[in-house]
Amino acid sequence: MIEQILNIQNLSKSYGSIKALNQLNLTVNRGEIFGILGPNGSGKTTTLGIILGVTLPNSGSCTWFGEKPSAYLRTRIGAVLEQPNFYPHLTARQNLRVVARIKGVPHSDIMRVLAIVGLEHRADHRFKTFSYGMKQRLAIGAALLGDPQVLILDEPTNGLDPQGIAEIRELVIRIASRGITIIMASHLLDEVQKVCTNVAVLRTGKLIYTGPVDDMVGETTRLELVAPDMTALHAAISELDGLNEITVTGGRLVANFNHKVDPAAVNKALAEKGIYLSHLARQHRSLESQFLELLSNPEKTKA
Amino acid sequence: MIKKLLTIEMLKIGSYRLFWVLIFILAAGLAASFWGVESILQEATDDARHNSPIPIPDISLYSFPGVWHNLTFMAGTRMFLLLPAFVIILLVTNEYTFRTVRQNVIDGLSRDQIVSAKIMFVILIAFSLTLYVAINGLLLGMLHTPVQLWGTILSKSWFLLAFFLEVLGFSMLAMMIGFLVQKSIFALGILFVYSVIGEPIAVHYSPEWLKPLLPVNAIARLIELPNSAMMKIFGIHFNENISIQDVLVTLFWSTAFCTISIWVVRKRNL
Ligand SMILES: Nc1ncnc2c1ncn2[C@@H]1O[C@H](COP(=O)(O)OP(=O)(O)OP(=O)(O)O)[C@@H](O)[C@H]1O
Ligand SMILES: [Mg+2]
Repeated sequence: MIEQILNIQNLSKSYGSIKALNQLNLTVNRGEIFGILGPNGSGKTTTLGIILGVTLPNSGSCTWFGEKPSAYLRTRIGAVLEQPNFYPHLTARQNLRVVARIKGVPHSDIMRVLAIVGLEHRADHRFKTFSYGMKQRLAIGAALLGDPQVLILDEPTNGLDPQGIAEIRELVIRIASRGITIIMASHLLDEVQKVCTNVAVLRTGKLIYTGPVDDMVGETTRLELVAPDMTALHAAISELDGLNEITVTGGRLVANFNHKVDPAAVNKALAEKGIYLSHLARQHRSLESQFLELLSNPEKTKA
Repeated sequence: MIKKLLTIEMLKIGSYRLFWVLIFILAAGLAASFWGVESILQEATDDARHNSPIPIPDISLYSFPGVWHNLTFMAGTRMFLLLPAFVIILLVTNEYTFRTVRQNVIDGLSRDQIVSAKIMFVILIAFSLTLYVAINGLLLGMLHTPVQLWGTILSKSWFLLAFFLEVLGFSMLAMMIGFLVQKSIFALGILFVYSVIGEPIAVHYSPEWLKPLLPVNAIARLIELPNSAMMKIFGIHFNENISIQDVLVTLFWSTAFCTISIWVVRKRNL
């Protein structure tokens, strides 16, 4: 049975004349690794701030686990928003004690999470002496205190070294494999494609796409073709239904369709016109190219 | 819940050096003026006795029960009230500077609990400070009162309660400014300018009935200058009692400062 973890209804938020969020609707189900994508200023952090109770919306509402948000429900959620926020004069361990006390988690959990993020040898050093990557790791560790049911990460690999990025990616997958729901905002599309099961794409506060990652990248909408008579091929392809654009590079023609395309059907249609292909290949597209196309195309919204 | 919130506040100041330095300065400053004024005064009266044609009675600031009035008056001067208030402002505005107020809410405190924790901390500070003054008073009184009867010792100890209210009211004002302004320098400046310059000027120009109702003035009126034997000679007389009106006005303002703090934290993005 699908269990709703988070449900956002008609959420709007303005800062003066800037509409940071515009009638946002979103659902996250248990077990999903949910990526929130969007350019700078598209409303990702605003959305996370509202569902975590620190930003006040102008209208709309959300529910956590089917209930009205409350401080108590937030103790079951671990979250890092934008940047690590800790008391600089306290050590890593003392900072985590504050978090543990707020969440009602025993102190014994502190060393466990410090070990997970690789900071156990710095447990008794003051937060202000940490490098940025270490601060970021401590924030992720704090979010893991008490085994939350939901983990929210806003650009979690920001400022981490390559090894750190790989570690966090593995960590996210490992945590998710235990059935914990993860919501993450990120600019690293490669990252999201590797890790996430579902995505939402925002543009200037509006939802322009939401669905499984596989649906977004899995569909073949692009074919690579070569035929002896390239001019005839070009003309024939141009007449096909739903064609977006044709580009020719390196003696190959790349046809881009705006819907899912069946290569066999294209092959048949061309053969009927007497054009026989010497090369036909699907081009799998990256999340990145899909994302950029979505953003450049204001009409195409699929929510 | 009270215990949980206070524990969290204690964890936050655990190894915060600046906090403990300020507390130490306050404690040392109070002790120095309590124990130092005595010797100065002793010399002065000895001097006066030599030259005076009329006999000057033996005055000690520190015999029971007058010690309570004298000590709480000294500890309640603006300078000493400003120190704990600065500490409170620092602790409140730090939460905004470090953005930990945001993290505390994300981690599972409600906005009301954020403010309640600080209110409780202010009460704790006021209580500890009162206790400190009480211990000093007890020691000084025992050293300076030849006959010690519980009745005399306790008879004016309600000045301690008035002192508690002074610290409470003034620190609540500081807390509210902290929540409103969020930046330590501005908050400190506003509190200082308002309490040392702003309100005294306002008091000067306001009608008689309004004067006792202004917050800092009401707090200052709680404990008035003690009438020393010396002043009695010169015919100056100050109120030796605590007026219920001043107590009520102080309590009213303290509650108002808390309410405004809760309201402003509820209404703003963190
Ligand atoms: N405190 C604020 N005051 C005024 N405007 C704000 C504030 N916070 C956000 N905004 C505006 O709201 C919009 C959305 O910002 P938000 O931080 O949610 O974007 P984002 O998607 O997280 O961007 P980024 O990828 O840069 O992190 C932006 O136009 C931003 O300028
Ligand atoms: Mg952001």
